[in-house]
Amino acid sequence: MCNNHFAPVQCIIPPYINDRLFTSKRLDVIKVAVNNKFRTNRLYSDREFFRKISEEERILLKVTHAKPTVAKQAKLEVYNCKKKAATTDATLLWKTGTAKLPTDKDAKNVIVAGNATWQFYFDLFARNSINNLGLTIKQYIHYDKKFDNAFWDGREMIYGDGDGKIFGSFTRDVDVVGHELTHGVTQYEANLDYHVQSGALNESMSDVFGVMIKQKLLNQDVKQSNWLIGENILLGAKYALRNMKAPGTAYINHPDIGTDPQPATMDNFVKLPDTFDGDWGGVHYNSGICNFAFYVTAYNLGGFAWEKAGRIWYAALTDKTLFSSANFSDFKKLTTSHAQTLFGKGSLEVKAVKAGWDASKV
Amino acid sequence: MKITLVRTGGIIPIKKKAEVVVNWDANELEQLKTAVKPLLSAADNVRDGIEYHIQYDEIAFPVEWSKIPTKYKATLEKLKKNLVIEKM
Repeated sequence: MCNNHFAPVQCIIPPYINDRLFTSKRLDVIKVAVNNKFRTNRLYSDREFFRKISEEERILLKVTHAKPTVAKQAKLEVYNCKKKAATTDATLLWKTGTAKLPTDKDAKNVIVAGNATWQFYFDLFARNSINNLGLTIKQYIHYDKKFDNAFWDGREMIYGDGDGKIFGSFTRDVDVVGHELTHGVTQYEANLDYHVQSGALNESMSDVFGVMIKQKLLNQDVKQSNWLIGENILLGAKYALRNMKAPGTAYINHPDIGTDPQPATMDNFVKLPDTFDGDWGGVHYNSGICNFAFYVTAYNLGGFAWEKAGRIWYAALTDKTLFSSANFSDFKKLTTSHAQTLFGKGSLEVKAVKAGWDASKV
Repeated sequence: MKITLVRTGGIIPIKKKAEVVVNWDANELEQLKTAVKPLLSAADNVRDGIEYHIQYDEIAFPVEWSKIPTKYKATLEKLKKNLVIEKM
């Protein structure tokens, strides 16, 4: 409440007593009273001012209170499902603090990627794990037999080994691990509904941060990055799960799975039923549109994607006004608004964000 | 009766199907439907999750794999093994 802790009288004097000090005949006492009144008024007006400003403005003014960090390093646990389609009987392979790394290649992969993901969010956004409260990141490997998928189950990460013919192990790409863990971040923030546009936005958030986690680990700038998601998981040198630079081209005429169905622009939005059969309204299809908007924004800004475009996207994702059913247009407005707050109205960053969304025709 | 096991979902949208003719009657299928009913829809809390459905006639119901009664386990496990990707 009071900044002047070394003058206890000024700290604790209530207004009615301070008013009485003005009646004193002693000049030094009146001086204290005036100072008190001035400080009190400033305190009230400062409090009102800070109550209304955004998180970005707080950061710019360097008044953000450091969040109490429960942990300053990632807390990871890796479990082996031993090819069973359940996590209940899984055995602990490794946890943070164990000096000796496991010999299991998939375990090593998820340890590296899990640490890279935690470090990315902590270093850039002071985010302490998925829930920002130091949640232990639990990763389950060797799930089921030849299971060709990886998913976030609402609490932990689960990875299959792939069938070995079409898909390799789903632990092989840092961006996919980052993608799944970012589903957790989104869950603890706007918790975007997994249906139609908000679901596609949810998917895109995971790709956007997943690719930046890979880029940061490899120290790649926007030109060096190939902007591919899962390039080692879908087997074959010319294939990946997704291409953020050119959605719809991650796999073309693949002998088993056909052609990547992602659109890059809103005029090609894929209308699918909001059912299990329709990918919940095409959440994995239409995420290509938002991915492309991010790619164009980041590419136009140059340098490392996480330095500008990433900051803008993270500010929008964690904005308390981002509601769970938000659509592409809502997110476009939020990213534009955060670009203005972070970099100024009319800045190159604002123009880049607008150009990004224009390119995707949102 | 012909039943189809359908697998949907995943980090990229892939649909897989496998069919088999079984001698289960409508009553048994109704019992199976009740037994394997998931607590939550995959879209409620799982992201990039896989979902299994059994389809017969015009009916489709979701399957929580761990809840399959022993009586149906072998047939459905065999179907799962034989799932074939529907190309995009």
